[in-house]
Amino acid sequence: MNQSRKNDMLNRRRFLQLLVASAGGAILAACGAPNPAAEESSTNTGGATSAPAAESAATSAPAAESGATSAPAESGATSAPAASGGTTKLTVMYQQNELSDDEVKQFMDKNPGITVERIDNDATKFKAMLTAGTPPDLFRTQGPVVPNLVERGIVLDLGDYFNSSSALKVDDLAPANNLYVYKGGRYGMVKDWSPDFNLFANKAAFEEANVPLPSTTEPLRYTDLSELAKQLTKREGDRTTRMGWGNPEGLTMVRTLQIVLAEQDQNLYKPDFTAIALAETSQAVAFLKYVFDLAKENVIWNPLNPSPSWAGDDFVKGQVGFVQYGYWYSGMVSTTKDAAVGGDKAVFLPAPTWSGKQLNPTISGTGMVAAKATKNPDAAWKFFEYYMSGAPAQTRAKSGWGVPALKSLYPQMPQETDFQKQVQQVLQESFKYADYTLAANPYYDDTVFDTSWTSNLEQALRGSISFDQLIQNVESDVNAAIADGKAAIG
Amino acid sequence: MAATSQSVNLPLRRGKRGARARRVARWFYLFIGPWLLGFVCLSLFPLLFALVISFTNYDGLNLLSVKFLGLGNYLRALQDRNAIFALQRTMIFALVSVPLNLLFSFCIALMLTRERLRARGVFRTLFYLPSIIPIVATVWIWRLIMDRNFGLINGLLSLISPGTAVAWLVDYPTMVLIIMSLWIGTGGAMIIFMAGLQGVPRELEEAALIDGANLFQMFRAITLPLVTPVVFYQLILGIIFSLQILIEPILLTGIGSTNGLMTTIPPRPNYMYMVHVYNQIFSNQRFGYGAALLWLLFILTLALTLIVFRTSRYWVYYEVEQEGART
Amino acid sequence: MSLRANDNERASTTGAAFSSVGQRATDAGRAQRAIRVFLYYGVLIAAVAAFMIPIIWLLLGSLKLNAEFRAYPIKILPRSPIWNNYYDALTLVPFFVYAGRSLLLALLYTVLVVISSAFAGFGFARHRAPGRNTLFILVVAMVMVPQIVTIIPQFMLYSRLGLVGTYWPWVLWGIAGSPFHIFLFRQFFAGFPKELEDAAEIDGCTRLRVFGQIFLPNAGPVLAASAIFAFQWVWGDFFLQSIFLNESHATLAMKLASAYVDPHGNPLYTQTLAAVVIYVLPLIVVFFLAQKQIVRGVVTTGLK
Repeated sequence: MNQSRKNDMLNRRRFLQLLVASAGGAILAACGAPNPAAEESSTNTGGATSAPAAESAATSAPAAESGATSAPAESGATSAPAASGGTTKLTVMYQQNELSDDEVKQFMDKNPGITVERIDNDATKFKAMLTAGTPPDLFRTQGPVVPNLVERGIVLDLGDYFNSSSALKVDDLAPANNLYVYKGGRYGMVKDWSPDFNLFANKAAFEEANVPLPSTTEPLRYTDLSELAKQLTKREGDRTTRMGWGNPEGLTMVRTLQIVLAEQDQNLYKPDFTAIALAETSQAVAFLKYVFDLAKENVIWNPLNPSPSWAGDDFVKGQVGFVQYGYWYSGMVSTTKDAAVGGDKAVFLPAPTWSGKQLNPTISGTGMVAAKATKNPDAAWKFFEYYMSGAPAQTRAKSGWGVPALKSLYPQMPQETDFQKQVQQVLQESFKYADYTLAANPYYDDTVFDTSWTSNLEQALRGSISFDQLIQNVESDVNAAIADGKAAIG
Repeated sequence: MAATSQSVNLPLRRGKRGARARRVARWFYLFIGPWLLGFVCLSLFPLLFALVISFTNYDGLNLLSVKFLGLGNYLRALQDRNAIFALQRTMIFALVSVPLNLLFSFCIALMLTRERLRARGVFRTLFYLPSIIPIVATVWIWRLIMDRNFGLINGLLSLISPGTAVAWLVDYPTMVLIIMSLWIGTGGAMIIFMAGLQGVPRELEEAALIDGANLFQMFRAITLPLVTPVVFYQLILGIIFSLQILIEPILLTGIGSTNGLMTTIPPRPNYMYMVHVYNQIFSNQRFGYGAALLWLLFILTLALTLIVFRTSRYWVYYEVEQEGART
Repeated sequence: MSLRANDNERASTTGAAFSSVGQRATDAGRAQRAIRVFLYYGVLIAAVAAFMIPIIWLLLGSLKLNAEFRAYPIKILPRSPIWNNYYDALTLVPFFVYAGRSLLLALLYTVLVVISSAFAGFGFARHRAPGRNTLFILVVAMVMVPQIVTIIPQFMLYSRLGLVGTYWPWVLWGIAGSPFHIFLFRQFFAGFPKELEDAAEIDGCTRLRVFGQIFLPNAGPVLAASAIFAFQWVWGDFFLQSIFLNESHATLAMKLASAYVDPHGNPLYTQTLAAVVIYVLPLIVVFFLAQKQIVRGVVTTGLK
């Protein structure tokens, strides 16, 4: 960009700022703002109530923290009110089934100075809150989105807090937490994780189709899976009473594709992440063609024959032959043992491989991050620590719905039933291939890829575009999103 | 619109009665004060904001480094094949569903205005019922009826031809959407038509019958012309609302995910214009572009409305010259 | 008893003509008339039946077991009605708490929007003032603007004022009136005879008293129509509520937008359907009781 355009931009930016400011001011004036301090306080992040506390916290809190580590609950209770003279309010955007009301209450009982409000996960609401400059103090996200959140200045670097925490030691963190590390900062943690590409097979379905159960030690090739999917699919007239393979993707298509490419030392994006290299990477096209063919043969759930619910639900109901999920899904299979395919009616298998090289990391890494705009980073950290190392973390570890985020909690994974033991056996082997960190693109939210893929796959299956066109469309959608993101980040 | 002719009268009223006129004007502004204030704060400023950002690459976070794109977003819309596709689908939906809704609700209103109809209130409530059911519940019901595996329709069809499993929501989603909209919309339109029909003078109709017209002739010559203003009103609202259809197609596809309620993308045939806009804003975070798309829709709606207004003189019957803004 | 009341309503001759033709007919035509009446009701009942299928399916579903509900081939009737679903619907979540909030929110908005819109409608209908027509065009034009244009800016505004997660946005929206309601009231008040107003003016009434003593008392039907439309809108709208309210103010509309789930997150369909039935019931009752008023309200607003 040349100099004159830069100046130009600056002036216009000024203009817009002015406009927004005047508009905002006028609105407040016209509507007779209930308190004249409202505008001031929002720009000063809290004005008299907590801004000074927040500022000093950012620099000195870790030190204070390390001093008071023996009684973290107490220090929280005293330091927050000391600054504000009242209670500190935290907003946490998280799902209820991952953060129960009891857990929230327990935290508040231990930290009388902090009130926590949990709000449901809602993408639309989150965007609105973000735009208004009032994001939730802590929120749920997926690891591969973190670089984008950092580039946009949304999330807070928790590195100093980690370094001085006694509850969360960096060398105790499972490798999956590396998804939350970006450009030297540590922005959060996974709540738990799994190698995401293992398979769960429905024993009865294999028996019925007269297909031997695959080995629990040797990985299958993806090409074998497509055969299995065909053999296990069962139809009655127009109805698919059993779909061979529930989902041909660990969790999202784009990240699955990235892992398949990583097996072959290829990358989905250009080295500087400024564009996707889809059509030109023959290995990428080959994998997408493979999925497209499966969809076309209708042996996986697809846009023209979608799952009545979701593949995991279908699996325990016996409506699919096998599904591809990580260890976390064994929690669901175990807890629904009354279902058609609960408990040991299922078997846990190694992750398939495309090229022969095995790679089985987490590609979702769901966890928690703190907002950069939070006014109470200390209190937020306190809750973060509680959620990641306190009672909720213990509960999660024992539930079997994911590998704990802390290595020290690994032994707590359930190993009581035969199924759980079988799962553990395969899981331990899978760990060998799990230590790989997905290279996330910092310029866009990669759900754009999946949205575009699904939409264009549907069009291709309906015959309105060719497979080549599908690839072209996905490429151009993704590149547009990357370009927009890059321009916005500046 | 038509109201502009009215303002011509105003200067005549001034003069010796100027003081009174001013007093009346003051009262006018007092009465509309709350609305005006609300309009300025809650509509006008947001709209201006949306107008300004439609010329930028604003994404909700980059206020400090925002770039002006001139007409860039508007030009982009013209080349956005998804936007164009979505607009086509929306037009098709509107073209089918608006007339169908008018026809249907008019027929029902006609039947319900029979003089000695028994249980009119019950009939009216039952027809109106669907429109008071909250949209989320409505979508629930229709998904259950149209479900491929355990839906009512396929279940009934299976009684005739076992194993029928038509994927209504995938293969014929627009049809389902149209039927559902009809189901929702009939009640409200019916009430307005009933009101319109009650305004048709009985003497005129009876005179026509005495003159030897049959029922159909009477209907064409008397009843229909007299309710054309209602048809006109319904047509305008129908166009406006059907172009803005958003929640129905999204929810019809899937009620939510862990990411919130409105996060699923409808099957391609139900990919309506507002769905595209919603995705641009909330999934792709293109606030500026989304705003531009919305302004384009607004212009289109305005244009269509004006066209209908233009044609109204040829088919809408007015008994007396209407007062100003009435139309 | 409301049935009888409805029979007395004045009806259009379009329908009436069918019967009056019959009355003029001779004995020979009597049979023909009976057939016609029979056909008339037949068609009407068939249409109602078709309209009611989804609702009947909802009711049946709310009385089934989840397994029955998802059975293949389908079971139309439950083997034995599971009334327990209704108990679950009320107890699995704090149903009455949510319902109470929905009610509060809906009433709050309804009262405010009706008052404010009535004022504005009266202003537009009975006062000449510079700029009136332009402003009225703005009212009408606002119907045409897609709602989501203003959501983000409004959220920013309310967030600045610290009003997100409270009922205040609905209070402000109520005070601001709604274009549709203003239109309704304007049309209604425009049809009042001028003499009434003039007489009051001579008596020296202020405009406010003219409004309060002459116009408002005669506005029953349109008030009823407006109130019901407003109430119904808030009661049923999950979209704005899920954005502007939080868990501590969660309403029924927000909660019923997704299904009830068991502890493992699996949907409990039939219990949800039972909840939906309870959710809809108040609206049906209110409409049935007030429908005459609504129709009259619409008639007199001169939408014809």
